[in-house]
Amino acid sequence: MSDVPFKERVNAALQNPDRLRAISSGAEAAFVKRNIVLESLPDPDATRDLARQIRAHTIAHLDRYLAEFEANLTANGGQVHWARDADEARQIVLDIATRVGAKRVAKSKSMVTEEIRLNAALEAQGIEVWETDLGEFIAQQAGDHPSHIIVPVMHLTRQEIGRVFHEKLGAPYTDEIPELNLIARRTLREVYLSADMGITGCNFAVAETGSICLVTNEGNGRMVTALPRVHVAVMGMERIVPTLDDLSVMLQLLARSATGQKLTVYTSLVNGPRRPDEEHGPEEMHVVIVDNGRSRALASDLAEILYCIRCGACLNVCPVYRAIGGHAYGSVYPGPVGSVVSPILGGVPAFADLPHASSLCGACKDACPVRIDLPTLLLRLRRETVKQGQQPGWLSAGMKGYRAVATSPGRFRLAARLGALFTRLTGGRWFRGSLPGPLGAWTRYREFPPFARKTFQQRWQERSRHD
Amino acid sequence: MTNAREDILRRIRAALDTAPVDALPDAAPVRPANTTPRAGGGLEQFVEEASKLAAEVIRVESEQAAALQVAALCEERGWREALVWDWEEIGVAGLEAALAGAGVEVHHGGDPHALEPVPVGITGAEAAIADTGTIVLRSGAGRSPLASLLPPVHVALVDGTRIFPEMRAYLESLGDAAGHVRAASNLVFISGPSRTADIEQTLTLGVHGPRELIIVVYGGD
Repeated sequence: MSDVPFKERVNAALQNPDRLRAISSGAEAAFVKRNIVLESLPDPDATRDLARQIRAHTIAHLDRYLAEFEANLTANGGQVHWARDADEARQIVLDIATRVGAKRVAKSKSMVTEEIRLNAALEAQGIEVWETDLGEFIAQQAGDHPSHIIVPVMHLTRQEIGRVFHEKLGAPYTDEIPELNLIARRTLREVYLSADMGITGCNFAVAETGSICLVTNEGNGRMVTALPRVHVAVMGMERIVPTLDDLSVMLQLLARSATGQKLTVYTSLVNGPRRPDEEHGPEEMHVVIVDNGRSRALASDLAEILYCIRCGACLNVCPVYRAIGGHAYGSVYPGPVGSVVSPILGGVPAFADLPHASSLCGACKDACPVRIDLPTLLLRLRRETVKQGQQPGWLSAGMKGYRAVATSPGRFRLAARLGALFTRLTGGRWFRGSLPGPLGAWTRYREFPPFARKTFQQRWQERSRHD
Repeated sequence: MTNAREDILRRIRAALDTAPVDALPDAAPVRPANTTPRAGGGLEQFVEEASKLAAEVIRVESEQAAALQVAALCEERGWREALVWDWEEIGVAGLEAALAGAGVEVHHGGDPHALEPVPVGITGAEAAIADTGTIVLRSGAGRSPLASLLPPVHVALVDGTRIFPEMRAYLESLGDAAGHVRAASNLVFISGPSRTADIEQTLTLGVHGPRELIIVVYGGD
């Protein structure tokens, strides 16, 4: 998490209107495509209901399906490791890297490896780490962080990328997109061919086959799992589906919701290391199953967030995300889903502001392919921030004051009359401008409506008299 | 230190025991009929969908015509070398002779560094899926995943009678789908050439994998 407070991160983001415009239009374009392509399903609503049932059923039997997955992958020749937290997960990967003498690692895009801060740990051991997803590669070269879980550098322009490639890779400056792609292709070809170890995430794990399913449009996921001699996949422990048939349902929704494609270009099922009669493919294949707070979520009233398939649709549709961009969330997981996942994984105190970074408009719930009730989860987390004393003092004092007034008829009547009197004395003019002192921040973008000249109770009594 | 595996499974069981029932419905999912695609789903739809994804689809009558078509592509495009799956794995009679006739040097395997400059990879898809324009490739002995990945052009041969309306129909056709899938180390669904839109949402082909996918469909209606 970031040391800079949320409001300062938001202010920093607002200083760069070009970036915010790029994010907003990118997110909107992705969502428009999603809407069109979702309709190509015979009955999108029924498919979403089914996908939700599959996720719910899987999570309700998570122990059984994880054990089944482990048994099947082991039978396929793969090795399964379990990590209670980020430290253990990093250590497992480091131990494998050390044992096989890895000097260079090629990675395909993975949220969970960012969550456990794997790259820094590998680099601290003197191991070179190359991100290979084009967007992640650019972010890594730029020393920047991804701002979107599907389109990592939605916030950068091609001119900025051209300068980064020129400075970091020594390529002649260009802002032509095909040229920029070619520079990345050439650089990463050499990386794939020389890397000792490939690291991936895991979009889905299939219990009945012991497969991990990886989806990429660029083909980097296939490169990373086919060329280096060791493949390590890191998976959040909820990323499992029982059967191939269930997988086919989730795949109907993942690409449609994420990028507006019917299916991702490369949907790979990796079922273990290469077989004795195969020439190519990794000699070893490892899967690290990561808990890192997920079992805590499972035990809470936020368990539904474990249904998430990381499509990013809730980011694209969120008015808050579109207005502040991904960086302001200060977490690996931005947007509405990030506002729920980040406090679960990183602790409520560290991310107490995020559940409030929502207008509760419900667009995320509508967009979610598995219909996660994100607004309700955000409200539950808000309650939790209060319980844990993470609410600012002024807000707690204000809520206490309001409660004192609103729970006593006498005090409520008195307060309403004072408000009405105040309006009459000032003619309502005082409120037209901004409120005084710290309250002025609220009226910078809104009008503060004057209190009614007569209270509701007064008008009700007058009305009763007329009848 | 206790065992992480046992610890995690114990945490999960404890969480599931205490979770509110309505939060975690137990019901096994039942797939309603209307979640599978409408009628159609044949060769026509496959060609249409694959073409939308910027794959080039060439339809020919027979295996022999397919073999000649691939050889003609090699001559036309000046490909002197090709990374090719074992002949029996592609299963197109006459392909070996046709490529020899076109003077193409064939690699069935080799060191990836040495294979990197090869201009074309030739494979045989075990099935195709109409509603997403997808071909299905299964790795194995004589079926290297690199043939569909390293060269800038991937030519895939598809039997026109092996086209399924959607992924589920393909899986059902396998009988024991799980057994079939895990018998291979790797199975990939390919829908069009490698693509990215990571820079300013502008579509570009061939960022890591092939920038061209040519699908030669033989037979079928």
